[in-house]
Amino acid sequence: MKRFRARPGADRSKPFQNLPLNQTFLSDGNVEDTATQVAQFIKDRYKKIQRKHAGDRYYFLGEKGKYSRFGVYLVHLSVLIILIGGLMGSFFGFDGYINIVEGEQIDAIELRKRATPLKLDFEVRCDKFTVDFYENGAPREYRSELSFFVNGKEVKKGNLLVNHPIKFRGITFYQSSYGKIPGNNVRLKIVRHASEHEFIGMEVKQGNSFPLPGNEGQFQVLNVDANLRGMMGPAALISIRPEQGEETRFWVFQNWETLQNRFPKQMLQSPMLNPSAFKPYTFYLEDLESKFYTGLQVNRDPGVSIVWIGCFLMIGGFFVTFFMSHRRIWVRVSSAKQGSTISIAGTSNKNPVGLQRELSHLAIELNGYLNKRK
Amino acid sequence: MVNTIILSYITFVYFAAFMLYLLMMVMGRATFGRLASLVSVVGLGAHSLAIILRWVESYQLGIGHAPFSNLYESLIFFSWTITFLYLIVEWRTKNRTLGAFVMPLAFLAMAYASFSPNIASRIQPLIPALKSNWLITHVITCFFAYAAFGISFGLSLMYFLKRLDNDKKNSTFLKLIPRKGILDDLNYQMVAIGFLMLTLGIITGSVWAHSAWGRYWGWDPKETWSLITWFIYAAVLHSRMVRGWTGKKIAIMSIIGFFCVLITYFGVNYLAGLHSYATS
Repeated sequence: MKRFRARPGADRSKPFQNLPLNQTFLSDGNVEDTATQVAQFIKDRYKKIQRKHAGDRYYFLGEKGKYSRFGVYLVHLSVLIILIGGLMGSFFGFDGYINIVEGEQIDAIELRKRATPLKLDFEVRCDKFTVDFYENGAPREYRSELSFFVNGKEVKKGNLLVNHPIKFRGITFYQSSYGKIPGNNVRLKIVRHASEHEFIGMEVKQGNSFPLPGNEGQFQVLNVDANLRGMMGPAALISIRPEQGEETRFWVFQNWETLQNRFPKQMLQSPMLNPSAFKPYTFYLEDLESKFYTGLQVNRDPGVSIVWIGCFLMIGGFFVTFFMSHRRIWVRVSSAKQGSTISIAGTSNKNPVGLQRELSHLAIELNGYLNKRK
Repeated sequence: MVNTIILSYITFVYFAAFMLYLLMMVMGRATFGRLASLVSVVGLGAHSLAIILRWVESYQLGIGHAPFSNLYESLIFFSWTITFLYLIVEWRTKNRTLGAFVMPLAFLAMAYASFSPNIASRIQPLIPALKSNWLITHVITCFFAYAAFGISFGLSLMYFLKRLDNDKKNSTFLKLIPRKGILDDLNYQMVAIGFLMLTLGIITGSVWAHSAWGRYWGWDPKETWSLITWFIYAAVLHSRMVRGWTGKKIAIMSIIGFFCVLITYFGVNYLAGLHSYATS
């Protein structure tokens, strides 16, 4: 600050000590004329100049890049702005997520910092989720087709991809994960061991009761699991309520044969795992409908623009701090035997090499300017 | 693929350039220096061509992305940026001694990329998270930062060698190294450029992360280490600007900084994270 306010006199002699030879040269004109020309020349190059006249000597002081001294404050201010933007985001925004099953619609999201879900003032439906793979097995694209509804009316439709978030009413949705869950429909094969074996293939909906083929009672699928206990593969829990007697429950597996080879016999002998637990039937699980769900990151962050402004300021501040400097150039015109002597000197807060280059350029140009005119 | 063949030859070109710079320093003959510069420029030209060729080839394969996506491609680009930046410094300062300290980095990066059995040179398709226009800006800014810090490291080594020089010693090698003041000044400039680029790299990275996952920062190992590196170079700049430190202290800090760059670059590839490149 002190250096910024400092107003060094134009008639200082210290800068002129030990000047290299090329920064002093002669001009034929007398001191007064030369001084006027020099003033004109300096004025074109430096916005602010000061002049002083002492005896037969004229002094000029040109200045530039004075404000570059503030670059460093700009950088530190920008760090503060970025922090403020970040804090605004965490105080006034939210950070949540939601899984939406294909075809389903949600109107609230889970928050990471709070246990209660956040109700949205609109609904989001995942119409379809697709995942593509390259030949080497690496994922190529995750795509969620989303529709947004306000008061039951569809307002917006869009494809959500990684790196292509969708913003709706100030809330941004990001593609973040996906998974598969079993759907409601289960395809079963039921075999009735009688004098003549009967095979029946049935498409059943989870939760609904159906009569057994031989009318011994009702059965229903109570539960399904895409991968029971994390290793047993797709499974469905069957419950049979006979006309008389106790309810029988057991799991049936899609990969029953594989399981029999992989696990010891004793493990599979539990009645809960016996597909023929209810005589005279054997149940087989043919297929479990599966559905994708898409995992979305859901954010609101009012601090984003402030953070970006901070980033821009920081980069700007760096340019000013690193590549600009506060330079002062002194020019002295004094009388010589024939005409006048001109000396150029300067100071800079940074980049002394750049200053030297500027001074020698200035000397050459000023020399040309003065000696062309006579 | 043609590009990988050209690139593996460039390894030898850079080695030759390094040897010529070294010969110039040891023998004190300017001819070797001129030859070294010529070899480096030709090498850089072929190197640029090979990168462009790789880019074109990836489109011909139907994969189509800038060649900045795995460890092989990043090493190739690191070597390119360091040679490019070095040749600019050489041209601006009209001094070739730095070449003997910087070209080995370019050579080692190429050698590691071309001859390490763990690094696949195949062009691989991009996973969804990398499919973004930010990939190019993020990688270019980060690698210019690494290159500038690499050159700063070379200058710091030169600074310590120059300290061994005195009037009694009659070593051409040491005599040819520029004055300590010049080295220090150049080192500061390199750190400033590197710091600016690293900041840009971190900013572009967080802009990208924000558009991909909805957050600026994930404390992934590479992010954490790049922040540590950023703080170290911030300390270099502050100690110089505020405390007026120069010379030895700055040189030591620049060397520490470059080790952090190496950890940021290579060390964290072995930890899981968003930035871990496929090493198979």
